[in-house]
Amino acid sequence: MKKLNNEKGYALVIVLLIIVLFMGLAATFMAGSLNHAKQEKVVDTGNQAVAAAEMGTIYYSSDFERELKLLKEEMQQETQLKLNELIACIELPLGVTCDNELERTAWEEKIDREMKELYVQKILEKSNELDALKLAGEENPFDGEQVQYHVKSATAKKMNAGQKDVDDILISDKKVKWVEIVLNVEGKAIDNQKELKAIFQVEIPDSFLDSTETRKINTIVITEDEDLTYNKVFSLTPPAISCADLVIAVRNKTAEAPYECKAQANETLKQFLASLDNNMEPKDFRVFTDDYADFVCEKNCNNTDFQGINIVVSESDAGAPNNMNNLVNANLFISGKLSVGNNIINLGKNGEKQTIVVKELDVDVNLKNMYNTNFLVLGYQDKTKKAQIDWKNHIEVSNHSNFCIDLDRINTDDLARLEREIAFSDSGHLIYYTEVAEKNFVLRDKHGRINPELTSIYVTRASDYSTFLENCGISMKESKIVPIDVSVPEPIGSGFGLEVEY
Amino acid sequence: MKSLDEKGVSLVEVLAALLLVSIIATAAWTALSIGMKHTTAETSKTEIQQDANIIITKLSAAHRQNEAYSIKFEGGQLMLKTPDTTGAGVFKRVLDKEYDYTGTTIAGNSDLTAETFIEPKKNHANIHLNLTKNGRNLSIQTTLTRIRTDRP
Repeated sequence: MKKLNNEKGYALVIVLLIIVLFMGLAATFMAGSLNHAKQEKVVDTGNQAVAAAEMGTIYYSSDFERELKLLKEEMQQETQLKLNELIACIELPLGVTCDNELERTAWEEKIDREMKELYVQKILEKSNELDALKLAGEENPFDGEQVQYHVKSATAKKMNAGQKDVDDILISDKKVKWVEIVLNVEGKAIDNQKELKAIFQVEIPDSFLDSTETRKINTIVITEDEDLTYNKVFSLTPPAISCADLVIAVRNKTAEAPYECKAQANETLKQFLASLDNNMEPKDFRVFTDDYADFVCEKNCNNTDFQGINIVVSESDAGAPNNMNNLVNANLFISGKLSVGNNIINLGKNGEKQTIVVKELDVDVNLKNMYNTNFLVLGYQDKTKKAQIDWKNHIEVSNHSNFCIDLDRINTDDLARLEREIAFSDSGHLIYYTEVAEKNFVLRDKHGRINPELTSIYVTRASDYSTFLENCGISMKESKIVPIDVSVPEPIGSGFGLEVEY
Repeated sequence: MKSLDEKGVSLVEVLAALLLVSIIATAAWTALSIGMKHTTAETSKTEIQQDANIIITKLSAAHRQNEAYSIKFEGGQLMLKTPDTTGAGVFKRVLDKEYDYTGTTIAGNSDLTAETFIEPKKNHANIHLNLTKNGRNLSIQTTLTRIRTDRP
């Protein structure tokens, strides 16, 4: 102690040493304490980072859900627009691209397919928009706080019903049922980060169209008239429209079938047939003429090809002057007497069925060699004015031809002569109609004896007038207003799923 | 006067010294014992706090990573069952220490013998954890959460 007392300068050193010692101890304790505080802070900011990431996930997923809702509405409008095209086609007049059930179904399926593709594509676009957000800065939900979130990535995958990626080459079911978008959101609190993975699953509906709840669209379709009458065959009132104008109207789709026109003085059958477009069928047209010879015949009335067109000759027209041979493809309605100076032979020789309707028939020589021809003699509206069937030498029905007569409207003497003289060959046939149950038409020999065998082979009685006309090849088209079902857009269901992985 | 030269210590001085020393010693001892007591208390408090943190952390991880999980109490242990890949699972201890969990409520269930089944995607889970050991008690109230994607 003495020595110490002598060395007075040590006091400072000792004090310093003691201070260092105490500071060392204090530092150790403080370090421990600070470490503890830091741990607490890490836990705390960790929790905040999770909360930030959750916030981001909820923000982006609700945003996506809202976008999806808008997209669904847009899709529904889009679908309606597409359906409107179909409706426009169906509405008067019925377009060629939708004039049968098959075409309309195919059209609807096409709309459905296109809509699905569009929907998937739009969802993928939304996913790309989300992905593009990773380039945008951090979102700061609270001012002055160091809590942020942002999108790290978004990827979309197309999945089939079995939740398999359709782009995988090993997967055979390529029908997209779901689109899965994986969105990674990172939350930050100070320098602590946490990433959450949100998985959206958007269901692609099986159909965008609701075929159970349909909208009726009225259209006019051309159908076979099922109920044929005498009046329908002959009381065709000639329209005013000229044939040239009709062709234009048909082309512009303003005409209604059956297409009827009145042949003008300068118009001929040949010109008219040439003026038709490729998609116009001559058989859909009916031309009225007052002058058969002038409209149809060139030098003479032989060798005319009607190409299936219907020609109606008015009652005032006297008929073909001399011969009417080799007529083919004809649908000829003569509202009066067909008077031919010589023969009607070799009808329908090209193999196509044709129909010739007259009220009265007067052939000065022969009616022979009919091929594939329905020859109808229907008489006059007024049943008391009995029509004449007159020929000189031969009347023969042959080769898939039908000779059709209405017993009630034809002169009984002529009928009696017909019973004895009409000849049949090959598959020629006579079809008759009468309102009177006990009346009939039978084949007889020269002496007036009934030949039941030949009668049963060649003669048929039609049960009613409509059947009679139908069996004799009369087919009339009529325009009917028919409602056609068109699907309405199906509301797109809420097929949306969200999963979050921590 | 040489004998009067009193270089030794007088009785009074000794007594005074003893008194002073005893006072200081008593004060020091008291301070030390109080400190020791506090340390022990703090240690056990920290320990119970740490264990509670572990429980909450584990439960919260289970809550966020599983479709469903179950909690039950058995022999002073909190047991947690999370489904494995097959969907089944076994109960495992959360801590290696035993506590008295009386007063604990998990998702509205205060019956400690019954198993509590939790589906985090449907509902949040309110937890009132009450730990008691050696007369020390800790009560924590918290809610386990995650983004609910399957709300009822």
